[in-house]
Amino acid sequence: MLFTRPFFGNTRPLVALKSVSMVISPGQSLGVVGRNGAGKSSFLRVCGGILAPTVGRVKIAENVTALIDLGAGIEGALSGFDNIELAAKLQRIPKGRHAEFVRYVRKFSELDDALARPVRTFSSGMTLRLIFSLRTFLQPDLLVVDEIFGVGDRDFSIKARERTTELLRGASSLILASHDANLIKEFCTSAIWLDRGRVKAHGPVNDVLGAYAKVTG
Amino acid sequence: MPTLVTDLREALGFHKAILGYALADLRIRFDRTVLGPMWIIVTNFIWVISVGFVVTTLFNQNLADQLPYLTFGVFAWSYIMSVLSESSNTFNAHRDLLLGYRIPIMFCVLRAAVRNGLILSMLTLVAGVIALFFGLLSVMGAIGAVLCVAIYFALSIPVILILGIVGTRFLDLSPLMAILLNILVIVTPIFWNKSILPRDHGLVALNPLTHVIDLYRDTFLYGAASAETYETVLLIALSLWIAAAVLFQIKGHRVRNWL
Repeated sequence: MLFTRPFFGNTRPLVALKSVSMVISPGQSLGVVGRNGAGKSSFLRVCGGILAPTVGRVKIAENVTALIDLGAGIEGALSGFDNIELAAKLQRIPKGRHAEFVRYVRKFSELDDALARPVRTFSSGMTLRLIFSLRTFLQPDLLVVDEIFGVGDRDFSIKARERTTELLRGASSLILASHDANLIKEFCTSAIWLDRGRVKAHGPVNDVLGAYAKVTG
Repeated sequence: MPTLVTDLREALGFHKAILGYALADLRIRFDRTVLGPMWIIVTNFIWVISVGFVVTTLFNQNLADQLPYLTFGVFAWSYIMSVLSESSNTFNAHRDLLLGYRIPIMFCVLRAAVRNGLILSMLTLVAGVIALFFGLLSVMGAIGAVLCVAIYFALSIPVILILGIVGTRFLDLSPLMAILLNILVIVTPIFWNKSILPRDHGLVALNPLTHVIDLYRDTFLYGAASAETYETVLLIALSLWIAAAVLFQIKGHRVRNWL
């Protein structure tokens, strides 16, 4: 898989991923580790069906939720309720479940009446609460997660972690990128270590994390 | 690899979200204004009256006689200008959405097309009232106006896609379009009439926007545009859709990577 971004004056292509080949079957869970800029987010976007590889091919499950860029689709000028309505349409939540979705977001975010205000008037913590709640209602078959546990204040962070854990357990397959080795050990059966877009190691979680720890200390 | 047809079909599966976001765009654009979307009509009227005054004075014409011609031309141009100026930034403006959700890129194109289509529909309603005021509105004209809006919408989709793809790869397109629009507004018969030219100038007919604007303006002025205008616009639409399909096939899958 190769991504290129040539510019005038700098024709060297930017290779985000190269020679990555694997199968993630139903029931499998894959942890992804690597330094910043190693290609983890690009790998997750390819697995989530968001980015197409320029070379090679990817076959992905139909019901995928990618928790990568959580703030996408949020309109700051609109109220929290308007954003819930837009998020419901964007995630194609059936009309019959809209009321349930609104109740879920309202209860989970604990924003209640504040949802009537424009999102731009929210504090950053409130915005994170709304965003996280909007994206964690549906239970997918394949869940692709990019380090999202540190959202909001301490209480909400615990709540967010619990909800993500529920989703992780409910999903038949999981791809999780994280710098938290314990988290990957908890949820993943196998792991890959990405380095400059290439797979440095791929195998059982403990083996990959062990090799990665030796390099990163 | 998706084709334009498959991507468009997939995007239509998001029709509720597309309409929701297009309506939200209009609400956001006029957020905290007193007049709200009425600003679209007010700005166009100010434009028509001020430019109309200058042009009719220059060419020694009666403003009242020229007003319908100017108004319908300006309404059409307003829509065309909006589509052409926004399109190059279509995918850049959707960066977070395209990199955060598994949505087809045509989602962004349709959102922009619907948003501009809604504005055109509003302007067309006002144009209908003006045509009625000047005794120009007929049943055929009303049907023709609806057809015009549909044709403009169909024309906007390939234009937004083509300029969107090129504008994502080359950010230079936005300033280039700004220059091009300044030229187009002069060379296209919007504020002046083709009849003032000493003879039938071929270059005017070569400008595709001449025919696209004629389609809208003649519908209101004469109840229907000429068959030649319809044929030319149809040819333009066909060419644009073919170009869009080819470009999508070659570079459509790269849009997200460029972002």
